[in-house]
Amino acid sequence: MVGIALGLLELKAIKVATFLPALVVAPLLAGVLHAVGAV
Amino acid sequence: MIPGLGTALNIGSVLPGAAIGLSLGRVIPDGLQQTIRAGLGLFVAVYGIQMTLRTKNPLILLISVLVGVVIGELLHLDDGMQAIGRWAERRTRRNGEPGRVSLAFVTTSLLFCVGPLTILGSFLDGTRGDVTVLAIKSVLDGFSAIVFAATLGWGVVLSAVSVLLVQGSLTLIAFLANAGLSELETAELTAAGGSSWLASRWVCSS
Repeated sequence: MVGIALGLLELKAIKVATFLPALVVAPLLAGVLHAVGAV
Repeated sequence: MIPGLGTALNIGSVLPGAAIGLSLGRVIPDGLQQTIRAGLGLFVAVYGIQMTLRTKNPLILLISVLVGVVIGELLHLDDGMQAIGRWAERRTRRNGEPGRVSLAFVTTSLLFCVGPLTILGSFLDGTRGDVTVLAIKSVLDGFSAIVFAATLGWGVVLSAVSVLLVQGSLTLIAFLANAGLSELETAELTAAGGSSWLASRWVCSS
């Protein structure tokens, strides 16, 4: 089903490395929100 | 245990895996190689979705990806990685298809360096000297290197440098700071990594 779904999507190249800073932002944001009691 | 042993194990699995894959690539028919690539792409997509769904707060994931992408664009990270691959290709140009080295390098570098096993494994290695997670990852990466090298070529070998730099740095940081991530931080990190995995699937398909 996933394969069919991916085939139905008009996929295009994404600048993958551009996503990498999210790996730093995610734990930082989670830590900050946890520290202030937001999550 | 020696901190960094897990990274050494990982490199020790990627390089022989790539060598085996390059040898097998000559005997595997093109049609089968394309099918294997499609299967790997499908696995990456499914695993990426699974990782992304581990988020405990989708809003954190959304904000992290948006802020991360803006930072990545401002720093021209993708252009930099592509440039490294093109530079390596120019230095060792062969009669193969153009662009395959950078594609192999970027794809396998992300595959081997972005994910919960990389982050958790490096921190466990650095803080406790426990290489179990990285040993499991080494086996997975070794087999992945065989298939990717057979289908994408020798650019997979370059990803061993990425593994050394990324995992080695994370392990060193963890060793020096003796730090770890909380469950929430690990979950959000994993989810953000899943998004990158999915993005790498789009690159494979293009």
